[in-house]
Amino acid sequence: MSARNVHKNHGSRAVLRDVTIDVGDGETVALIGPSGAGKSTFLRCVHHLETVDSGHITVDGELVGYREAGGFLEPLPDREAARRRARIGHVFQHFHLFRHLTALDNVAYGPRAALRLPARAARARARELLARMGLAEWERHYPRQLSGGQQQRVAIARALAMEPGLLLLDEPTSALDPELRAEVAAVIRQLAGEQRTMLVATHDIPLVRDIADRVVFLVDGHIVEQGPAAVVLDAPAHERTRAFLTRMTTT
Amino acid sequence: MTNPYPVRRPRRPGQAVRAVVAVAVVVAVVWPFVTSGVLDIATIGRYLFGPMVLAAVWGTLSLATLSTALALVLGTGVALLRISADPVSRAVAGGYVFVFRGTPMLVQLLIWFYAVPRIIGDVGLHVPFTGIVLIPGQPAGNFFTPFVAGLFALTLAEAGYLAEVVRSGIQGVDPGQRDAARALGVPAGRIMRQIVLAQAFRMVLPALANQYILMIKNTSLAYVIGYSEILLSVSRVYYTNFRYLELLLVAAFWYLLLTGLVTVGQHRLERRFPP
Repeated sequence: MSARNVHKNHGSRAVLRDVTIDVGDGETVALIGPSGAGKSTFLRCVHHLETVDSGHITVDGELVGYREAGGFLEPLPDREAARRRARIGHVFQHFHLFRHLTALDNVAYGPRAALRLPARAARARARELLARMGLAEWERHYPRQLSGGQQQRVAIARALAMEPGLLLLDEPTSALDPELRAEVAAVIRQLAGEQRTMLVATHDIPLVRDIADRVVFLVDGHIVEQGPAAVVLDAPAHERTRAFLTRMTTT
Repeated sequence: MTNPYPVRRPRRPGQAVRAVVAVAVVVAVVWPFVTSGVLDIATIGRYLFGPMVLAAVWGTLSLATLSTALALVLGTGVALLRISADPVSRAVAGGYVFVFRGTPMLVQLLIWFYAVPRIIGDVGLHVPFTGIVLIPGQPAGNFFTPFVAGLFALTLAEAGYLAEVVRSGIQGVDPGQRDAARALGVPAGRIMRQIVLAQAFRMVLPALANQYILMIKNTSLAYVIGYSEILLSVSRVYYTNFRYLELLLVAAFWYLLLTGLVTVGQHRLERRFPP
């Protein structure tokens, strides 16, 4: 993934300013920063769930929601944009599992509705993923019958079912109690170990330490500092980064 | 281990006494009608399951069900236009709701039965420029029978209400649900049908049942255009024997039975499809 000079405004307020980030194949990049820094917005722009005002973002060398036409970026028609979104996985802070579908159908839905896989194949793939998440016995349960940690693991399985080339995780552990956080963090550690390409927005500094190759520190929509995880976390160049890390590790 | 402090159920003092009083009041109000001969039980018995009344019950149920079902389809379409990004579509849908929800169903019924056939005039089929007549022209009124006029009027009016019910349901769906489906790469049309509408209909199930019950009762308006529903059939009897109360009670019984059945169905659906 490669983002170049991304700008985005909400009305007159700039929420992303000149954001340039690269994530190489098999690399895990952590996006840290205070609430409201624009971490979620950036992930949503990468996935073209929101539009950008200027700059461009490519995944696998391809623009996600746009095509180039005479020096401008032009929005793609819905079907084409959908096809490109399908190659990116997204895990949300509040899970957003489909409330009316069972755990199994949540995971099987994407392959069926977006990849047009036959029901049987989609379900087989979903079963396998739920088993990997340790949720084999929960496949018939609806989201409201699952704990937050279980819901987030179903949500991760749902994203993986699309076999995405890039996985975006948006504060995947923030909505969870500490004990449930551990079970989700364990799954994310496992994914990072599989050399998947991931971009993770998070407050969970210990998790960042375990999984991130590089860290990007974002404040008020622009990048204060980025570099190898060991450097940014242990020897930050910026006062603001230092202050943020102290606050996050002492509370 | 036994619980040392079992919790007692809250007391309801005088529950039995109050129940007896409630029953006594109902009996005290109804009994004089029965004994004084104002209310003739035999008349009720004669017509309650009479063939004319039963046919009219079918008339009420079929018109109410068909018009509500068609109105749900049409109303969903109007709701989708109302929330579309296109300003012209939004205005058309807004205008539809304004007109059809803003005028009485009774007025719309009369328009479809009396005025529309006049506007259309004669209807026939002939090959242009040849004078060859395939179907000889006949007044449009022959087509606009009380059932057809009633179906048009009730469907179109009801669609105005249901459009708003469905719209409220769509807007009640958590935007995160749509985000999650978009993130999977599902095309917009499928997201609307399989995620948004699927959840919206569950949420508005009680409101839809409400509208269906209202419609069962509103078919009695089609009485004025001579559609043979429950009210018309009992009125035909009381115009001849003057037993108004008995026959109106027969009508009330059937309305309660139908609406009661809908209520039972509603609770079953709600249990089967929780929001």
